Amino acid sequence: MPPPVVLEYERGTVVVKGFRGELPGCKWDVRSGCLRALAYKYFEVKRALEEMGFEVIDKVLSPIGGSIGTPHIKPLRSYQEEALEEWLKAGMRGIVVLPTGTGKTLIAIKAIATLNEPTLVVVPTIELLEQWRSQLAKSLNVDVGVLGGGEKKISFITVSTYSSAYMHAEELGNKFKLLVFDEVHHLPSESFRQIALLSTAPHRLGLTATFEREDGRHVDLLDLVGEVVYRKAVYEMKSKHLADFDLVRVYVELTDEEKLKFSKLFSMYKDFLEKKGWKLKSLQDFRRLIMASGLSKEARRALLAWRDARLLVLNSVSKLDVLKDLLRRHKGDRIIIFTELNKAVRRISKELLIPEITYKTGSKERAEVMELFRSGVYRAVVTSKVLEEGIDVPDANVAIVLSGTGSRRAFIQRLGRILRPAPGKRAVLYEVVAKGTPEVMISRRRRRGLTGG
Amino acid sequence: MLPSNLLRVKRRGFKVLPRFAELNYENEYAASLLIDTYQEHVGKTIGELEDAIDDVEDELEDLGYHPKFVRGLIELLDRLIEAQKPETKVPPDLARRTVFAVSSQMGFATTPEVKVKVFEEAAKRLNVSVHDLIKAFEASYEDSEIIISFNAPTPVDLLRQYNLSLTQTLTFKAMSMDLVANMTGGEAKSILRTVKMLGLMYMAEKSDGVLRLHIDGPASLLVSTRRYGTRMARLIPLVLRLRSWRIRAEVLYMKRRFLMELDERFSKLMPSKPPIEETFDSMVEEDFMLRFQALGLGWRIVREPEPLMARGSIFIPDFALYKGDVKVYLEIVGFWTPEYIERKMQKLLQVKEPMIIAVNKHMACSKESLERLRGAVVVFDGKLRASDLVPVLRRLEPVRVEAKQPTTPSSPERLVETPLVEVSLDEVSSYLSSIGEEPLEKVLSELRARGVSNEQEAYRLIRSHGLMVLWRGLDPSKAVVKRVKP
Repeated sequence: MPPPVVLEYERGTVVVKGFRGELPGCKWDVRSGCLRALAYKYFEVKRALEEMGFEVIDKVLSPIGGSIGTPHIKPLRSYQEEALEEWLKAGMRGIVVLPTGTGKTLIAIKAIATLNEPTLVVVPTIELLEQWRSQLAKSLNVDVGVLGGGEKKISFITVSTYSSAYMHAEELGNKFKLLVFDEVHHLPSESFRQIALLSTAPHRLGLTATFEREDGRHVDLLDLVGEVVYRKAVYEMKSKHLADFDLVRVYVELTDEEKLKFSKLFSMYKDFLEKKGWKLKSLQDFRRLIMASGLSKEARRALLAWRDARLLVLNSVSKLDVLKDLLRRHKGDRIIIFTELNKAVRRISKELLIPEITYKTGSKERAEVMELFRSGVYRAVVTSKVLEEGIDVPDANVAIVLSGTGSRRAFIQRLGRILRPAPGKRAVLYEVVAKGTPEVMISRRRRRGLTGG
Repeated sequence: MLPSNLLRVKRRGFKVLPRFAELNYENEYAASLLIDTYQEHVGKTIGELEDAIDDVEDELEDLGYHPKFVRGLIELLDRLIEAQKPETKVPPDLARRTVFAVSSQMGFATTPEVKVKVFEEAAKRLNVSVHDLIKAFEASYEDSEIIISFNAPTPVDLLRQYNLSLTQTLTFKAMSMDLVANMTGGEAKSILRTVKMLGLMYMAEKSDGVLRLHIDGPASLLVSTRRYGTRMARLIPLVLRLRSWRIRAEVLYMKRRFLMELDERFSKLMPSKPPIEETFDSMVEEDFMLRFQALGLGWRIVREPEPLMARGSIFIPDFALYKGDVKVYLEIVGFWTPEYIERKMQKLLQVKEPMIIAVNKHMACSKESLERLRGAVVVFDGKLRASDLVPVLRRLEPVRVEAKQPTTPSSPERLVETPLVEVSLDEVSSYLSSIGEEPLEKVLSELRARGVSNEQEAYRLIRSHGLMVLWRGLDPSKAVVKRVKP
């Protein structure tokens, strides 16, 4: 009988002591004189050793103790049931792709309750962190740990932002058995993927409305989380569970003075692009310009001109007039106003006396604004990009978009936010576009994302 | 450290360097202009400062300064101010909540008339004047905070800090870092302690007294990752405190691999830091050193003399003892956890240099590992006394004691020179010359048979014939005499 092999966890990796040879995912580490693998290979390594007939002394896992309480979970809709079943059948690994507003959270909560294992839920934003925390606490009857937004408390069920989970990956790696990734399309990025790589958790669930990434990295999710086990598209769902909504485009004219200023600034930007032979067709081109702006003064001037032109359009007097009109028309409704630049957010907040949320807003204040919005004390919120994903604002039925990035995913998700089912309610989305400005083009591209074309 | 969008580098081929700000008149001008602006805004609001800084930024850009350089300086200066919410009649948070709630009820300030009404109603609810309400409402926005202090640096210090931050920001993108340096034991200890504290790992090599540390993290073996870059950046201020150093970091920048090579010539561009101070790990060591010196044994004692290699990792002995051309290291192993002792023992077993190991009698350590140790082992009870070492040091005394060395017989622990006795030197010599490796006990008895009855003298003869006594534990029956010189 050969001496036993010892497996230990070390900061996101698993070390094999007392064995030298081939093992899946392992490499010889001269620094410590032993074999080493990334934590997510732990089960494979252990199985291989046991199949070779070694006795394994396993010191790897250090799961957080505890249990959920008596769950109070809403009954699942049939497609939610199907999704959960497919995931369980796939060995409790894999990704569920469903449009925003179709209750992916509920599927995850049911999965967590079914497994009753130490679970880490990873979410992209602070708002979602709050939202998941309260939902998990309510439906699973547990004290929920939080990592992110200045808090750090690790419990049997813990919610974390992607950034915090990345930062603390080495410490979290052997403590959980189930990982839930909300908006899992974030995971393949160079850093965030390490949350999956440095964890021993055997069970993994990914949730998203938009599986495909522009950079093609979604294929890596197979290794990190598992395959897509369930998928349904927007048009299949719309009539069933999403609130009907109207999409209304409002064109505004710039004032003559604004027009003159705009064309001056915009041609500065366009001339630069033409000189370089670049076309502003994609975000890629735009990033190229931003990068170049760090290198030449000319590029920087072009970028600044573009920014000023944009701010001019955003802050245009006529746009603000339209906004005022819409606010008057929707007295009594719950309204979210999106605009892209923080300066524009601040201006609307101060001028119209509407609470704002930007990336600068502290988490306490942010939670307060959302709470007062939910309870109806505030009837509108103006925000920049921070609400980009999945924030739960159940009663919002009007969205006013004063600008956008032209990214498909962002737009679908922004839309989704006001599409929560609420009986007898029609949601309206207004897109306010300045006539004769390049914004028109961006808007067309955005709507393509909606119809899946 | 700066946000990575403010990073500026110089690239040539596969090499990359931070684009350092030279400490010249032009850059000092930009720095002082910014510092002055901050200074002038103590007592004013953040919003006012931001507006003023925007103007200075434009002015500097027009003069040809790079915007990222200017932004970088601003970023550093922002950390030196302290701001506070202004005093208001009602708490700003309350004013804000009330204004927004009233505004929501009235359908928002879509006309100037409604706006006035909103403020009036909110003021009424909070029982303050409209003026005080508006002041409190304005104060709820972060740019209305008032700057209460600014810890102004000199322009040169700001530029130095900028250069260090820039270097650290580029190091964020490092996948691994080689540090080549001449280090004292104390310096190596301090750097390795930080490496360990940061959860990093290292491989060490030593050649011609120069130490090379290859630093990365556990997962680096399996994936190229910049995960450890931020932690490596925290080593840089420590490195700057070394006299002579070289860094070679592998950096992933704009999706390409580059080498960042820096050395002590760059130190002058960065904040000057005092050399790493040698601090005693424990009272035991400090106390011991003082007592040892007080004994006056003729041995010179140096604390944490230099890093020794222990198969890829580093071992820093507590002391080195010198006398003539004899040098021996001394390691004091106190009372610690069994795991700590085991790790220490593993390292000690790898060290090749001559070593005296002083171990606490109550140490939690297996007998076997003690016996496997190479050097001489001295067991002490509670506290190591300098006199505990005397017997071992006697054995290690250099062959020829310098004649000039004064003897001070007053000290009871003082090594007393033993006079040579009449012996048949030829016989002794021919016996000793024939030895390759023999148990110590056997050699001693053979020497006694040839007239060498004094043990001290016997050790002296053994050494003078190119032989060495290897102690394995305290038990003399395990010690051997081995040839080191033909």
